[in-house]
Amino acid sequence: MNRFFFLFGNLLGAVNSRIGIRLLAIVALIFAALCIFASFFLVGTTAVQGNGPAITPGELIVYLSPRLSSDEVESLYLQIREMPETRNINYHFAEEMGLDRAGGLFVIEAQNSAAAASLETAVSTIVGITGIDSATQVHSASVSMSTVIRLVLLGVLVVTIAATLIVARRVFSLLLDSFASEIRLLRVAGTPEQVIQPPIIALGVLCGIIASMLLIVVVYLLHFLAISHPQATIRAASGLLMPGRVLMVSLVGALIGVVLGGLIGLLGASLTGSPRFQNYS
Amino acid sequence: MIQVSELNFVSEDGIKVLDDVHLRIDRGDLVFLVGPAAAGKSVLLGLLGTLIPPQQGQILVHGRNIARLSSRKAFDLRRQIGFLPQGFSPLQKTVMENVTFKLRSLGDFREQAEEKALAALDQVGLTSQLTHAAGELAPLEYVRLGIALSICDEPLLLLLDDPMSGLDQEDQAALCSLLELLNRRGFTILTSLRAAPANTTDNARIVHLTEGSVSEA
Repeated sequence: MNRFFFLFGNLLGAVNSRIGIRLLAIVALIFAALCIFASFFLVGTTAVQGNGPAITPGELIVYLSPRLSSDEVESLYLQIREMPETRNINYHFAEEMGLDRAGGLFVIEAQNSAAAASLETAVSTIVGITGIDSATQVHSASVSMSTVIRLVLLGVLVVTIAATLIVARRVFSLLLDSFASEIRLLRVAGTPEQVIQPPIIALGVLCGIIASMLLIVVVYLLHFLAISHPQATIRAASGLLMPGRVLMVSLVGALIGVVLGGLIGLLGASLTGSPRFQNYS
Repeated sequence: MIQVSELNFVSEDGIKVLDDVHLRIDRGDLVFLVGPAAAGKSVLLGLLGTLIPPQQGQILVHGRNIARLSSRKAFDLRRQIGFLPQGFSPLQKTVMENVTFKLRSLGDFREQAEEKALAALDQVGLTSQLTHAAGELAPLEYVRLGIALSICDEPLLLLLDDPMSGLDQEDQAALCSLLELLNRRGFTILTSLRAAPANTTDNARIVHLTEGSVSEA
């Protein structure tokens, strides 16, 4: 490990501003690929469709913070029941409805569809409400991610990954040019490839890790934004309202980022076989 | 120490570089391999240093046939050979850092590497320039640094590829003296040159390599 960290430190020392900016471009491209991947799972999948209760027009599902006490829940229940737009209100535990989240929820039936919209506005201002699903949201979300859009996004994802690999090859070639004397010296000194290549692979993995961390930060920021602002348009990406899915996308995205970074590192390490890094070829 | 027999080597473009070379170098020898440019000196040194894979013939280094070595054992053997390649250029670091870089990349810890580097730089007379940028050294000091890099890990054999190219007569004489000093201190040295050195000790052997064939003076 002593050798690895020593060589890794020297490799980082060979990064000048020109190469550094290009390495950041690689991080940005990996991040873009991860964002596209995340959008498949966070945009256009609703909290209630498929594994939750069906929402009929004029009906609202109001999610409550799991931190509310039973007295506070009862107070909210009474407050909403007294609203003129409310026809009926029932309390359920989320688990009861087959939902992947903690806390309870109210299923509210409004007097009519028009009343449902104003009821949604009124309820969204109450403290302790973490989310609202309505028939309107479900409809708009399912439209926003049609099969065509998914196919286009898939194409963009493939192009982004290909661009990442092409840019990475160029950047690692530049980096290794500025590290060529060291590589030649290592070769003459009898340092095997198993020692020379891991720091290069590690640099690719580091790019992947930074992109993955960025993805996790952005996904969780959007998640908290969506939960804490019931009127935010970001709630159209209804996957962001599901903590389990946000966690899954973050972890799988991070894994993909690291693997992609590792592939880039391997691509870079393969360049050390070039004759320009040999004293005799 | 080195036993070469029936060694042949043909370049990628079909030119015969080495033709039935026989050579023996014993422990403690100082051998000057003399030949004109493109005579095959670098190829012979590259083969002996396990940097070029052999094609035909036998090369025994420290009793091991290098053609039959696995890549791992070839790397182990290479660590026992101090090699100064032709046109050596140091790293863009200080003199001391150049030597410690090699030692630390071979697995030595900082203190151990610094101790060995100081000893090697002392042997070649560069202790007064430890913190100088290697790129700013004079031509002879460049070669001294290259030799320090070659001997810092206490190799059994020293292979120097044309270290005198670009040096004036005075520097060449100084370098010859340094090689003889290192030889007296126990290093076995094989160095290639384009012309035989003017003054050599009785211990030194001069081997000529012309058109791929070896003959001893």
